[in-house]
Amino acid sequence: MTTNQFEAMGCQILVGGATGAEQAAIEQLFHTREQVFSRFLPGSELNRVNRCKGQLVAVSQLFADTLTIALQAAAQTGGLIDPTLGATLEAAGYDRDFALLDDNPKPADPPSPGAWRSIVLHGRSLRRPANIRLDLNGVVKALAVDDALALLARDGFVSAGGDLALRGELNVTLPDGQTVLLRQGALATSGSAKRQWLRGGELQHHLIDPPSGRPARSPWQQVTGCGANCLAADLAAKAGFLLGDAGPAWLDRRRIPARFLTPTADAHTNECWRQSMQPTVACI
Amino acid sequence: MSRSKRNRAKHRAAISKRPAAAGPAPAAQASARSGEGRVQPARRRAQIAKTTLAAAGTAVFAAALLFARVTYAGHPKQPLHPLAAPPRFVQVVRQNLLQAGIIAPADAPAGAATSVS
Repeated sequence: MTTNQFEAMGCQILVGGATGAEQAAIEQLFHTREQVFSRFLPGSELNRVNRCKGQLVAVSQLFADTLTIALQAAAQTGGLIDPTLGATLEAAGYDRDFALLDDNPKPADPPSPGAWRSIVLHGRSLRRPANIRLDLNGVVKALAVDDALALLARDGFVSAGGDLALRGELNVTLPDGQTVLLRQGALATSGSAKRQWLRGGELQHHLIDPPSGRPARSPWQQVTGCGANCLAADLAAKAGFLLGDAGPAWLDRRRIPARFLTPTADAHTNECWRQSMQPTVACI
Repeated sequence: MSRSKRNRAKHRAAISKRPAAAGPAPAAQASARSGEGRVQPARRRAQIAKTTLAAAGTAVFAAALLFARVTYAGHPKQPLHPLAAPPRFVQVVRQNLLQAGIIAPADAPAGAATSVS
């Protein structure tokens, strides 16, 4: 299978099994999404919406569709994946591209908890409290992977910074070096292992606990989820991380296989993952 | 004075002129007969008047109802439908985002990797 890679959304995008035209379309798709949803491009639609002083603002159809899914993700995860944490991430110090981020002796600004229920979207009309700053990157990258995969006419895969969706079957290496066969759907990994920085001597990362508005304190360092598509896998991984000790059971109730790595590289799996790893039993 | 009132006045005058002990005069008897003859047409006219008034009242009420339906903003002008969100919104909301994929033990060297981005 031929593979190509390019950079977008601050990570490496790897595409397998694409023709030249498909590859070009996928690159275009990622760059378009970045132009619309980046927190770090001043002219992005996300930043224009966040800068808007009024409560009511008209957004593009792509923005409205993505926000609808982000709100749905918030509802289905009990508010764990919250699209209203833009100001909180900036308060924690994540206010520029991660490559440009450096440790800052100044303490983090006071956080503000998530408020996704205050968002009202009717068609392309968005109404939100003026102090809310949206951040849709909890779903944008995974949605882009799923949409990119749909552009492939034959079997192949799309991976964005390790969030991988495929058509067909593929053996995939997990963060600790183990390998599993992904037969259908997607695998995504979330955690605090990579995007970390210091603010006022306190370790910060990008996975925010919505009720407190502070970086989540989780016993896990990385969580890998297996979903029917990249969005499901990514939501599962993030929710599993944010829920901490309750993560494995929460994902078991939704029949989602997940694997949890502690900071000391101890691997834990939920019941569904263990059933999937038995040779003759698939967890569907 | 209308004709019926004049007739009634004449009838009362004739009765008052009649001697008390005497029986009814032949003229009075004739007048009474002709009075009975006028009652039936009067009743018919009254019936027609009532029917006309009832029909007119119904027509006015129907016209007012129609006028209200056409002009009053809150009055339903189309058949009523239950309140509901747009179908596309309902479809998106009901879709379960957290659906599982399928994994199995590895059977070959890895072709890709998942990691924290």
